[in-house]
Amino acid sequence: MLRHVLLSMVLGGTALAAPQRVVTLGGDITEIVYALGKGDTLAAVDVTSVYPEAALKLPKVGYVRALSAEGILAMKPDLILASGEAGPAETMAQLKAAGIPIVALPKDHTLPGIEGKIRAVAEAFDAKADGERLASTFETDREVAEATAKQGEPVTAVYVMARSDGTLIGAGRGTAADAMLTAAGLKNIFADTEGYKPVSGEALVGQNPAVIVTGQRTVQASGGLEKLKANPALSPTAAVKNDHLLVFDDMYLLGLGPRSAQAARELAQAARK
Amino acid sequence: MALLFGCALAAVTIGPMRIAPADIFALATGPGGEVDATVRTVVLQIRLPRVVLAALIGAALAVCGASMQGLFRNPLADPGLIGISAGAACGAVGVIVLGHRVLPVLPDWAAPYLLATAAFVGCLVATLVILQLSLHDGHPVVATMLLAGVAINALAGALTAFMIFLANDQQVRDVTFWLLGSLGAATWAKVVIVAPVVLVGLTLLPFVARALNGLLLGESEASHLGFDVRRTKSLVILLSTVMVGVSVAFTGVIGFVGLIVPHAVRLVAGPDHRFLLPASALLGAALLVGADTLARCLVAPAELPIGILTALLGAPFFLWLLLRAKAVWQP
Repeated sequence: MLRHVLLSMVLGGTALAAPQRVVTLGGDITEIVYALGKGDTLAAVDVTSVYPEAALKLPKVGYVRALSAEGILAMKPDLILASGEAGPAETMAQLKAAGIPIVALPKDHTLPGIEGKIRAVAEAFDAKADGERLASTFETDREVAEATAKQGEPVTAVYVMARSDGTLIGAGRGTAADAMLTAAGLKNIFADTEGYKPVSGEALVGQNPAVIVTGQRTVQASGGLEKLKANPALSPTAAVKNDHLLVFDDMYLLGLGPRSAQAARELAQAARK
Repeated sequence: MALLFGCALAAVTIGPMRIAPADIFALATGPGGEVDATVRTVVLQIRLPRVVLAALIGAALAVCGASMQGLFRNPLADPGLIGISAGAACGAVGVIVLGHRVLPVLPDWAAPYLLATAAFVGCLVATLVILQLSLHDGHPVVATMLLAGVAINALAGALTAFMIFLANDQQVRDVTFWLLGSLGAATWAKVVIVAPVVLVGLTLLPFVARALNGLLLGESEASHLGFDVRRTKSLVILLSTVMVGVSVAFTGVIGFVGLIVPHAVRLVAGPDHRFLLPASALLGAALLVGADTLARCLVAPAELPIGILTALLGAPFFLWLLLRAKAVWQP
């Protein structure tokens, strides 16, 4: 059903000729375009497009939620692929008024939603078969993650970021980190708060998570893994005592792009070792 | 006037999208039928409303700054002083962070205006509270008003900070961009709302120019000279609140224009409000139109928030004027 909705959106919005100058608005969409092997059609991307490295060399049209129309139009795109985050609404309306084909992808922060995005982007490039292949690899990884998640007792976990001053930020509801913990079948101890919030060390120790997940940038900001483990909010937890502090590449874990299912599978498996 | 016109002309012609002057000329003089549809949209629906909105808002901010500096006899006075910016920020941030709870019950046509309305209401509330607090025998006392302004600014700032704490990281980014101001979302619909308010204000404020001149001597001196000080105060505060409020509501906080433009005019042409007010309006409009053009071009195809540029351009220009004037006055 979802596929049909997306399909009609795509067919309604794009010309049939293969697009040559594409502007992507949203890092997840850019990642999908590269994963489909269509990276060479990109004329410009937004600043959240930081993976793969090639995307960093393209002109940047601004931050995905604060775009301006003229900069995008100046790139003379023949197709705009916009994530659900792209805005403000005025800019999107101006782009439409300028007569450039736009594919607006739905806002969806769940892993099954990413499969829909992959198929819709592939459709816009008239590369259905490639999209199907990428989406089904994704689906397989997601199913492995789900199957792993169902094994044994539920595991409590937390995703933390560290600022260079040593304070910790925890990931609550509505964050990419929470989506990944959930997809990996982990019970987020910060599920009651919303967004990324400063962490009370006592509360974290009190909840005693069995797994701590973090990103490489946090390890760097903390001055190394040992220093992070020594943080008084983390050192007394079961996770640190049992050496269950898992470090991931930040974008790999939190990008909510085509690599997310693989990341969820790795997270699910690593958390249960 | 020539400066504003030159800036406006340049602003319509220059942008990240290269457009031949011939196309602009064709659009300006006739139906421009042979002009490409994308070019037409960029010029008529994106650039032109932006330039007009920038001119209106630049004029409003500068003229309100000029009259408030006169009213408070304080060189640091600007529309932010009586809580306009802080109140607007409070309202806008409230909508950015908590608006998703109200949005589902709003009709579709109203949703895009929720943020602007909240910002406008926020500045109105802050200003009214400050005004009410400073009343003595039904007469606003300027010194109390300054202090109440400081307190309400702090309170609104704290409420804003609390909402930022509640926000998720995307909302925090939205808030940051709003607080730095942008003309990127300018549309004719917004021009139609802002223009009458600003134009009425620009027409009415010169009527109190002589009274503001009188106030330079002091409040009681001004009333001895026969000026209605109370009416002057009410008019300046009311018009500033409405003019700046409606501007801030649609573009976010754009700092420094209201503070610096009137001083720049004064340093060149002296403190007579009969000249100061219209000249500030023109210079403010030119400055904002110019700054917005740079905002579009400097990091194209991305765009700098305009609040960064008004401060970056305005402050050194002002310092230069200040140093030059010092050399003239203290040989």
